[in-house]
Amino acid sequence: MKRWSLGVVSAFRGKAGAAFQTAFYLLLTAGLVFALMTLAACDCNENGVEDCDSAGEAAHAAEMASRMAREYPQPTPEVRPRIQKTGLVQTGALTATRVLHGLMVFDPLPSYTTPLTYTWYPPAGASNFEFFGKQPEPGGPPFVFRNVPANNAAVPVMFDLPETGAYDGERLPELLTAQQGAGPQATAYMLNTVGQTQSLPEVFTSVAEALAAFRAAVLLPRAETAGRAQATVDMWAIDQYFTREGITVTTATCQQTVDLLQSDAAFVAVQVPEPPHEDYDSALLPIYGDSVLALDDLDGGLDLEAAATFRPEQFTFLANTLPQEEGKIWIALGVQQTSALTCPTAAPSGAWEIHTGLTLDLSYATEQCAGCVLDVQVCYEGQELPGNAAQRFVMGQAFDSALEQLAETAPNASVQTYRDWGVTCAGPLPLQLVDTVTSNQWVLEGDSAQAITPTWTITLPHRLMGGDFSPPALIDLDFAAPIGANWHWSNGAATITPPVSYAGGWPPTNIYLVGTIPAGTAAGLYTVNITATQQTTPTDFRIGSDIIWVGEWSPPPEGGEPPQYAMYLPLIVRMQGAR
Amino acid sequence: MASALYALAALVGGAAYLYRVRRSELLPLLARNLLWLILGGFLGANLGGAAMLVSRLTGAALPFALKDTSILGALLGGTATALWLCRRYAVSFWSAADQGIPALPLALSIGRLGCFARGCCYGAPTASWLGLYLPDRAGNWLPRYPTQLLSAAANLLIFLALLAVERYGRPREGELTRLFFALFLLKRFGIEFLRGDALPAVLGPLNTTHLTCLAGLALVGAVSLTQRNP
Repeated sequence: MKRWSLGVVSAFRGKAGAAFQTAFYLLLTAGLVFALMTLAACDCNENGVEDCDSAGEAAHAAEMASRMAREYPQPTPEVRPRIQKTGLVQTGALTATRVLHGLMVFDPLPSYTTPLTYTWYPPAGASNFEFFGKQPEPGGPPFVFRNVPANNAAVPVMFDLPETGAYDGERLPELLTAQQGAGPQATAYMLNTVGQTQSLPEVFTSVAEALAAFRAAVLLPRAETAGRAQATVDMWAIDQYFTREGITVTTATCQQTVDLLQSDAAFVAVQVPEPPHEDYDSALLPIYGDSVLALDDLDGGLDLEAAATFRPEQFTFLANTLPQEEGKIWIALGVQQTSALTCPTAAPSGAWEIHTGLTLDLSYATEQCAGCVLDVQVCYEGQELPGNAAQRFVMGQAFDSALEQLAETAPNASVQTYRDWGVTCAGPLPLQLVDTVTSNQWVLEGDSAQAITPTWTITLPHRLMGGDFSPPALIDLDFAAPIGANWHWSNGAATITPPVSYAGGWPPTNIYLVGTIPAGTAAGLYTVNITATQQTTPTDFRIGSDIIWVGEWSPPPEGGEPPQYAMYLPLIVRMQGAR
Repeated sequence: MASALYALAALVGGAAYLYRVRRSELLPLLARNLLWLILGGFLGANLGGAAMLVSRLTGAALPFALKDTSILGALLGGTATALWLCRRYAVSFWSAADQGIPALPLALSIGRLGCFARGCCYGAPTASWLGLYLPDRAGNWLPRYPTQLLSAAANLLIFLALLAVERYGRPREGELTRLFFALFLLKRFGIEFLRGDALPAVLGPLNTTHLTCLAGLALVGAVSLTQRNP
């Protein structure tokens, strides 16, 4: 045996050998611990969360992939409801302005034979309805027509428009939905403007004269254009994930959340490009179906889903009060109320998310409106807030004080209160349409909602992701925050000064907006908008937004009265806001 | 840094354990068995994560919330491994455990410094005088309960208490081990109220960790009664 190997063997014998072996195993144990913990602590995707922390990874992924939009081909609706206004009838007997509208399904598919259900939501304040031909079911407005054949002639309806609009506004939308069974709805939108009826093409002096003109103007074109083929267009599929940790969802608080979402009290306003139409004709709203809201937790014990739908009763409010832009209309969305959602009696969760999915047909807009920034507002209706005293208190704080504060400090943020009308809206929450799935575009990710107490420092995490820049692009960062002080940018380790150099690819570039909430900041809801702009191409920008709830927060006691709505409202914003 | 502190904890804890044995002929064997104990503890610590993974893959919801990794799971895994080792070498579990157990809180005390460096096991935000400006795992810096440091201090106190009881209390076989488990579970029960990553409550203010601690305390009590009245 070689001398060196004899030395090794002898080293493992005797007291010295035992000591050597002990030390060896001891060091091996320490090395094993080091290896295991390093492995467990590995952050190979450089997102600040250890890869073995599966719940943390899931939460981070959901938070950062908070908005995912893509364009994909979808068939347009089989039916296209339509409203036409044909003329003004001045009989001399009426003090109000009497108008004649035609309600119909326009241009159905040749194979389309299933009877429809129409629901007509007339302009707010309209009266003295007179239907010719097909009569609606008793009751209304809204007026419901069931089992209407696909080839049914248009339903003429004559009614009085109010001399002044509701809420002293002049813009009075009306809607007509058409639905096959329980299938997706298609909705026509017509905007009536009080005081502009003289711009209508004709003025009739009798009902008979108006009806004759209506039949010539409305029915004939419908017959001529029948027989279209169903089109397939690129639509936007926008998914929004909002993750919240540290606020427990129990069965009771889950039920309170979905009850609020399904009530009339909460809705979201989204401003979309106005679909093309003639002055005398309605526009087809660009949301037909496939819009969902889901609430689930990261442990898989909670899985609720409901369809989103229009809130026709809120359109008048939106058309008169929110900032109006030429070529854009406001639509109101809420959660479908036809069947009540019931939360399961699953284990409570401290890590959960709301997922919303919206299909939006903007095929009529230039380049499908790619890159557009849609304005979104979250609103609730009612002077008397829903829920119990604790919930009303928190909701009241959230909207009253926060919005007043926002209106004072950020007059350009289009944030207003409408308490006189019994409706309050908060925003804006910009929603930018960037296809992040089918194309390698750079994006600004990481919209979040956070709760904080004054004097504390808040960190709003975002990251630049996707794209490919060679040489690296310089990205300017900007923000608009109605509250807070000492705002500065950080890369997670040190303060940085924009622009940041960004090459795209992987890993993402993490950026953090850090600020301090000053003492005395009013409790409530605030929004912070962040803009990242490519320095050499100012038109190439991305927008993100965060919601901050300022105030004391503690998880509600089990079985108590949870003041949860304060956090749910941002969630409503998120889900529909993303649309 | 954190991994180095965890390794230091294992080194110091292991050395303290071997120092207490003082039978040099057994030291290599005991040192080698430390590897099994560490592996058992590591597997036990990740039981929650494994259960969550299975739940996700199968779509079967867990009846209660769990943590990915937990020290309670590590204790369970380590204890199971120790029982297996004692059975294999035909030695009394209680006797062996009494010899080694005081080294455990010492190691855990250092290990919590690793948690502090790593940012895990962080505390809930607080405005009390205890608050230190610390991050959570997402990097949100707030005044928080320094739960890692509180836990490290508590573990150190348990270590000292065990040494004192051993020296002056004349404990019977197994009592030192049961005392450690009782003190540790009480500490963990209390600290959970201050944790920022605490699981959601399932019974009043108590969550799964609290209930596990209470179950563990009940088990320790039951075993103590059994051992006292064999």
